[in-house]
Amino acid sequence: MTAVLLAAILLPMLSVPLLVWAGARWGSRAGRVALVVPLTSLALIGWLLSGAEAMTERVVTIPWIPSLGIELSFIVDGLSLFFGLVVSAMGVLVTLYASSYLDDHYRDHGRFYAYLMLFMASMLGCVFSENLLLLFVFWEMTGISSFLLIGFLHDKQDSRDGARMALFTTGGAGLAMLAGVVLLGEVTGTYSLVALRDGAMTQSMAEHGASWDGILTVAFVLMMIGALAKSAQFPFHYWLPNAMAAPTPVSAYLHSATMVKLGVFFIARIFPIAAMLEAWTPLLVSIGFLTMLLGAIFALLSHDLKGVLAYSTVSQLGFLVGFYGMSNTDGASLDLLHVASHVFYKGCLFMVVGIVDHAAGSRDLRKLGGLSRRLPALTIITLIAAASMAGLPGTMGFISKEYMLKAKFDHWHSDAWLNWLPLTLVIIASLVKVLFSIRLVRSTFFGPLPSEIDEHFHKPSGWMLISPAILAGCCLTFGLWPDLISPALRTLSVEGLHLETSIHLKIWHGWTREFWTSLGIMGLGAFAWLLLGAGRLNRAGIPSWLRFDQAFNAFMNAIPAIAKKITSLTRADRPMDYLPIILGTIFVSVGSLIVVHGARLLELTGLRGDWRVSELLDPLRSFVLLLVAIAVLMVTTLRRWTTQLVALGTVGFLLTFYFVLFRAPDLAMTQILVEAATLILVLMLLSRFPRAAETGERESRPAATRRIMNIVVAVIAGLTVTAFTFVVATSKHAEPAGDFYLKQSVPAAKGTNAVNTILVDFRGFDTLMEVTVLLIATLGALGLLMRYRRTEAEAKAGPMGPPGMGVIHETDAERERWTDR
Amino acid sequence: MLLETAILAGLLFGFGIYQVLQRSFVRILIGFVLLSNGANLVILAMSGDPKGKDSPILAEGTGPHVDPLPQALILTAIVIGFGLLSYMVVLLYRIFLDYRTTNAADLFEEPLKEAKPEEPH
Amino acid sequence: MNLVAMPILLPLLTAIAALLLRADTLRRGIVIASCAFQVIVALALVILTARQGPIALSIGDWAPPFGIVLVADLLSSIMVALAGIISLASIVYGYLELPCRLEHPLRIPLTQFLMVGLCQSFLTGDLFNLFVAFEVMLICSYALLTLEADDWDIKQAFPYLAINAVGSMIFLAAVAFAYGIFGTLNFAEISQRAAGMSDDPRVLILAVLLLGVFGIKAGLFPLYFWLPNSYPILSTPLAALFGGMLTKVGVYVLLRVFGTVLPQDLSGLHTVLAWLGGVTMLLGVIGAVSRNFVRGILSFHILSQIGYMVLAIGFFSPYAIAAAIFYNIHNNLVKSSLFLVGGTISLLNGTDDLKRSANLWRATPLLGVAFLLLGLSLAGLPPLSGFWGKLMIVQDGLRQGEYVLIFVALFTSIFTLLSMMKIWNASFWTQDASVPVRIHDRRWIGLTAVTCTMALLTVAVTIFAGPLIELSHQASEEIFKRETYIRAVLQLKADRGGVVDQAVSVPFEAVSDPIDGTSNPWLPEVAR
Repeated sequence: MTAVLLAAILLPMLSVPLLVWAGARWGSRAGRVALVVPLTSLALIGWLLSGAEAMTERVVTIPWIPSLGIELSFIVDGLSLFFGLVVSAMGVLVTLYASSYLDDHYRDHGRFYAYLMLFMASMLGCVFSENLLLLFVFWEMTGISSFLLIGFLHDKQDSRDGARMALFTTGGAGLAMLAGVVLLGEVTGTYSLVALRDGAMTQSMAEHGASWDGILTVAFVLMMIGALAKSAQFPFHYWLPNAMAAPTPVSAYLHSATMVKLGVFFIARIFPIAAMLEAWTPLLVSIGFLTMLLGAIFALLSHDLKGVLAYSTVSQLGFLVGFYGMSNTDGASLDLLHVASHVFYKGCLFMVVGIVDHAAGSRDLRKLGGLSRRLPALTIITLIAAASMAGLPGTMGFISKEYMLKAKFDHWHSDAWLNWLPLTLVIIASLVKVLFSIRLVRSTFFGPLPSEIDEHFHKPSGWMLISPAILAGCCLTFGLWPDLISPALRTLSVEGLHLETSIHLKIWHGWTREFWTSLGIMGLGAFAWLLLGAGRLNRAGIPSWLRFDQAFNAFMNAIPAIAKKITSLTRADRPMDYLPIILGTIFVSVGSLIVVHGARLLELTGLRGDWRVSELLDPLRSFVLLLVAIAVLMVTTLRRWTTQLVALGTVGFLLTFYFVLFRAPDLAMTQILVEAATLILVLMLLSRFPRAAETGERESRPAATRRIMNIVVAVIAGLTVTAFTFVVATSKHAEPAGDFYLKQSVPAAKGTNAVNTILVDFRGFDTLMEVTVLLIATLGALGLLMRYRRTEAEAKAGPMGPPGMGVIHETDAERERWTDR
Repeated sequence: MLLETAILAGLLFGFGIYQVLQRSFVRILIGFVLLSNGANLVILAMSGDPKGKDSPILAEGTGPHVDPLPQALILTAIVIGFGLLSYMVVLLYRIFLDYRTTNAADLFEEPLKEAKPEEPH
Repeated sequence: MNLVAMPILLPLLTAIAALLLRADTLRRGIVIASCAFQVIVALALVILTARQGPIALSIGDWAPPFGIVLVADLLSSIMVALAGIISLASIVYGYLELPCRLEHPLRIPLTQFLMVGLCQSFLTGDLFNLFVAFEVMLICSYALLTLEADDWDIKQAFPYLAINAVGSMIFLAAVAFAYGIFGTLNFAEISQRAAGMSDDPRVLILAVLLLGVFGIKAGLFPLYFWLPNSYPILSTPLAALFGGMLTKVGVYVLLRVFGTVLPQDLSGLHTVLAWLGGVTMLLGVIGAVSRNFVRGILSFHILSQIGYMVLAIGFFSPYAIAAAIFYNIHNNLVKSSLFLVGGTISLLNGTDDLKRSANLWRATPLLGVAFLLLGLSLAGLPPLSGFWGKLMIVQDGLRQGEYVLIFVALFTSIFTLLSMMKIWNASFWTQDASVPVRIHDRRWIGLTAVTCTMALLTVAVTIFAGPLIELSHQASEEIFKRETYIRAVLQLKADRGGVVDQAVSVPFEAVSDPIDGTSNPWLPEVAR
């Protein structure tokens, strides 16, 4: 069974490169080839279902990275099988549909099917995951594949924008979900859903009491943010309509049947472990039903066919979310029925819209009409699906609505607001739904046929009708004989999620409250349509203050500008400001630490309380110190380069003398040599500069604040170094390494000059590297001066550009700039 | 002895840093030399008070010796500093050749625009 | 010849050989062969240290702590291996980009010298030697920065030079202070002597000073300003090398010094490190979002990624350090590969300005796939390698209750995604007929091949994430339990299986009578 499960998930993934190749080879016919893949997955999952009479859940575990807590563990239970079936079955239907929809006007067919299969694999992985981290991995993979799919027609700006919006929104929320998942994992000690359900959750709550309940709630809320964004709930609802820039098969698959359902799936998945939290009901009920209403209203006000469907999806998902919210600790019932019903009619309607778009060239409700004459079969299909959407009797949608209302009336909650609020919202939303269902059908298929549409009408191929027909058929069949689906629902019920009731679906229950309610809704809906009429609706639009997507786009466009401002505020663009900041930071932190620990440091130096400075100073050395101080001062204050350098040289030679006083003859010698070499080098170079360079140097004083800051930093640096040097030097370690060298210099290294033996023998490696540094410095200087050119002609022609670009020809402006400064 | 060395090191560091923060490249160069000397003095201070000690040449009859390790370290540091300095000097020269100025502020006056002044391609 | 010295010796010899030869195919062949050999040696070192623990080599056969020691523990070996791989990729890319005739004759020698400095920083066990290694590295980088830079870019070398030169001087002073406080320059011995000194303010001050210096090197806020404006002037292969390895030396050194050398309970400093990492991360990604040139964007992302690693170091638990090490492995490869992608983009479109780049998804889907894999990995999207590193950091952060910092980390992650998507949308998905795509310039094939190979390597890191994470845990443990390191260096009785091999020098025989006639005090017996 492991093999079957893994095959069902991995096969689509592995087929990706094959499909790309198939697309390159066969073009638009690659779709037929691609059909094999979802069919295989469907068959495999069906096999899993058939082997599940006892319907015990089975868990498959393969260890992966134990230290992180992630394992490849999959669970086969009712929920995962149901969604697995939905995903793969819809995959088959959509692939079939797409193979005729994507005709030769499109390009990159292979890639399309490859993305589609990648998506399907990710979805399957997600629904079958038992480990929360693994679920998250697949979750994000669905995000990426959906990004690729939405942006498939990447030539168009709105495709790219829609894809970006989807990725950013769901990805960003996904990060919140990651935080939630990890928090949960850390708090309870496990990422396994089964372990959590079987007690880890309650145990951890019991062990740690109230404060951890808070953390668990935070984790839950974070996870919900991710789930709700994926299902396009308020306030994340804005990405879905913009994702309609995707080709229709993608919308039919992702944005009606599968990906957006992921959020709802996740809620169902963690129902057994999180429903006991106090935040469950308020959060889900409020957001769910609010979204339901909002979505329905937007669907009514939207003019784009796909937009209508997108918003209505959002609305239905909102209902499902709220439904789970209400179903608290008792368990949900028939939720899978609602999901299935939605999949059928919504998938069908999306496909219909695609065909209409293909045929008529437009998706705008205001421009369409009268297509029933040209597309009679399609009209019938649409009528069925739209009827299911509105909840008319005879369709599965009606069954679903009835049972939903029944559940509400039967489980009358103790909290009043949990009864009336959802009920009212559901009724209003259903009303609106009837309205826009009528509008959809009426404005597309009935009424006058506009002449532009008639002229450019393009009869779609019959193959395209197969998938929507199948879906519509399901709507009708299960609407008329709902009991057909009962055994499946019974088998698929999940412990901990579903109520233990026996399921026998019937159309007619008698003149119950729910029946009257449904009747009322339909009647009012029809009445409202007659009142409003198509005309008024055509003129309305979604108010701009609710257009979150516009806000999002504006935000996206503003980000670079904001970022630039912040970056320039932190001075990353001004080199002249870097150095004071860097040096200031280092020395101020070190200096403040010295001050803070001053007493202790002083103690370490071993000075008694009654020391006097004169005890510490030696007259000869102090004199040298004074001379150096004067020389350094002169370096700072003198103006001409040559005099500055002379002063600098004086400093160097005075230090030589200081080295002698410090009993370091080698040092003194080296210092003289290097000092001389330095002076010669610098003087030599400076002499090549025209006098104008020196006097022309704008010695304009920097602003007073800058100067003061420089002085302050310098003073702090100097004091810090002095203090710390003194402290460390007087509190030296008792066993310095130098003693060894003194002892071993003659016997081991056979040399009397200890410094030499260190340099050449004991620590010869340092010397090797130091010589290398010199060599590299030479090479670097050489490189600077080489102004690397190859030929005389090229040298005359101008400076070299970036490698490979050859010689660049200076423009006049450049030449001007470089030559007379 | 150590106090003077410490003060000297601090002096050189302080003035060195002040110079490095200046606008003229030549001053920055000078600042670097001062810093280098200052760092060397810090190392030197770590060999302890040389009073009553001899230089680390182990001839007959010499008494206690100064710690030779810091001296060796300073020698290496001097050479490395010199290498660095010579590179900086040539860089200074090259910048002058290209921009005809030795004033760092002039070069970086405006906040760096991201685009190069012209695109050769 | 001991394996530990090879990563330093090989590039040195190659550099000298390259200097002496003319820039033609013979030289190219020798260099590539040498680089490939370096990679093999480095990988052998990794395997060896993974099996038997740290390996120490005393140079000149002088016993530590008086001679200089090279120590290869697992972390060092991993870094050397990464350096070798990235160096090879960068050199091959450079060769494919330029014909022999146009190649600057000094580039290869300097690159090899840079490798010497890099490997020496990773392998050295001596503080002053670390300083010298830094100097070698730095001066190579100065030289390379200005070697082929256009005339109008030379001035960008100045801030880089100034800041790092001053940083070097401060480092020198810090080394001096360390010698004064601890009396030795050898890491292992400092570690022993410092063990009880964590409340000594001098150690704290020294630690802050070293933090400052290494922060400059690593690119930590507020010391990072030299990076974002100087890296974009580099040519692509050098940018890959610098961006992939050079800043990571700072991270490595932070790990080494704060992990192995200094006492491990400087918790105040660790907190500071974590917060600095967080701020760097944020400002880095904000800077990246503000740029429009691929190289500029990627340079800022270096800062952001450094922030992640320093954040992990700041959390300072074995798990977090393992996260930092794994993140390092992932990031070095991904970052340098991204630079290579950027270079290929600018070859094909003629520019790496996003506003004038387009059409590449149709033209070179392979490059697009490579970029997608790399970009998403950088942003930390599962199941790619970046995700695992991010996950580990998030796990440890939440474990320690650092909610704000984890929020910052996740926020940075989404903006990194945004930034990568910006490049993707502009260069690959946008179709603009007015933007040229130079398919006829056949070089792009070779460059794409190198880029895709590197991308495949990162996919391999993803696939083998499990074993690599285990390796990181092992390396992290070695850092926390410094005894193995110290023992390897001080040649103590090996009671952990096979710690020292023949390479470790035998206690120095020629020592004349020790001071007090009893056992040699320079080789203390410490039984752990």
